[in-house]
Amino acid sequence: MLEFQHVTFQYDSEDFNIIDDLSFTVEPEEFISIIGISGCGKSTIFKLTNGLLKRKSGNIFLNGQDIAAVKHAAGYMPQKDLLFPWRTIEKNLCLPMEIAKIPQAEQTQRVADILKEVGLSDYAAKYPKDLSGGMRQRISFARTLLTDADLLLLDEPFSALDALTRISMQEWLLNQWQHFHKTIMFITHDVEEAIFMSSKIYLVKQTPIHELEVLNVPMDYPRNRNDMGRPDIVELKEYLIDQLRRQVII
Amino acid sequence: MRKYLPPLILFFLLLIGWQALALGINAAYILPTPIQVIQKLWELREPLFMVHLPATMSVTFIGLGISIVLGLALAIVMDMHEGVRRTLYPLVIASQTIPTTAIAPLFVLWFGYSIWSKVLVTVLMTFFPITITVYDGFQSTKREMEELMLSFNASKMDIFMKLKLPNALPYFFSAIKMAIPISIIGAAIGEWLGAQSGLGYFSKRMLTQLDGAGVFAPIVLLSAVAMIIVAIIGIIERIAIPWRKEL
Repeated sequence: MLEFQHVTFQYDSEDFNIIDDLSFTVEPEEFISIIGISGCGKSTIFKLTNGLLKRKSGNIFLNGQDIAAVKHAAGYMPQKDLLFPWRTIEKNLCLPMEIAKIPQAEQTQRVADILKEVGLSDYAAKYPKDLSGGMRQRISFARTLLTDADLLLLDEPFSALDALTRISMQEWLLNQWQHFHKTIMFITHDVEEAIFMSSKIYLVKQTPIHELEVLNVPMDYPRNRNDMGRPDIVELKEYLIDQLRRQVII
Repeated sequence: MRKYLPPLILFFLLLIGWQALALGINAAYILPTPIQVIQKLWELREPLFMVHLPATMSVTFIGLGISIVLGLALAIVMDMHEGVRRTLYPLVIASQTIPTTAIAPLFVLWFGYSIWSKVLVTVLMTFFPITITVYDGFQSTKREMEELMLSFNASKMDIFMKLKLPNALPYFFSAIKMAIPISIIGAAIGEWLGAQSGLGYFSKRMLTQLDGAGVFAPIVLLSAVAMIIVAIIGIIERIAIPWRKEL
């Protein structure tokens, strides 16, 4: 589905390529996590994928087509929910559809449907300030779904949530993923989160990023938290932590 | 109600201080007491409220209206085109270095005693805070929100209309609240330097008659009107943008 072919990128403010001849693929309807230390270039991969940054060289293909030519290639969900405080929840959800010039009646119908899916039908007329952190992230995810993209880029969406909300949001997101059959690329710092959520983990081992080490998570869906204590999973967790600790400079 | 108590106490303390000082000086043509000013306001209520206040308010509102249109237009073009910003910004700053009291008599020469000489003074004084504050509002848009819009394939116009414009609304209200007292001062300066009606003109006329309370009465009236209008704008702001603190 998504294919990076020898992609190189450099920020104007830096004198080296933060992404250097990087190639990797993501299969359709997969849930993969990209894990790496802060500032290693994970978000740069997302910004290249959704066209916010222009690559220096190489190609990015989505379903065999150059991603720049694909309309609504990827839906992007940032770390902060970034709901517009002057818009009601309904109007926040309409935003990607307004930009795509979808007729008003269809917008209203699709918002009603998605609110039902995320369990927040009663909040359509509320403002973001009236919602809890977890609810806001659910709305932010719903807004990402309404971009109509099959590929969703979730950039540390739960990092600002408290531990308990975070756990329930992880389980909620897995259910949504299985329901909507989307391809999800998920950035996180949290090793446990990456293991629990994804079928594969793409580990950033160094910056500049030349390659991503792909690790399969040996667990089936639906996931069970009790499996996190299995010896093979603990071994995977320790390997990931060890690899990340080697890169951390205190 | 509790929150209004400290400013009310301070206000009454200042009034008491003023009253004591004026009684000490004991020369109403230099410093009248607040009671004398209130008495004068009552005595002159008809010319003050029926003739001179409407004249000053006409100048204020026409000047403010022109300043809002001009200030918004300048802020929008400066935000949209970096080249335009670089060209206009020094000119906008330069306009504020002109001493208003020195140039206002020139406006009287150009426009006579008509309303437009006073309106021009008001515009010259008020378009600047509106332009700069609203421009800052556009510029304060969060980069990450813009990136989110871009990820939805938003055009420049989409970003302006759906993000920058609502984001700048609190700044717009701040600009208006700043501009109202300045526009009233501008109108009064214009009238002081050349007019046949208005509170500035009235105050100057009273000065020539050495009527201290008569000088102060229109000034007090202007302050009260400015405070009332700013309070009304504050109420409109609270209704229009209840999300202000969420930004």
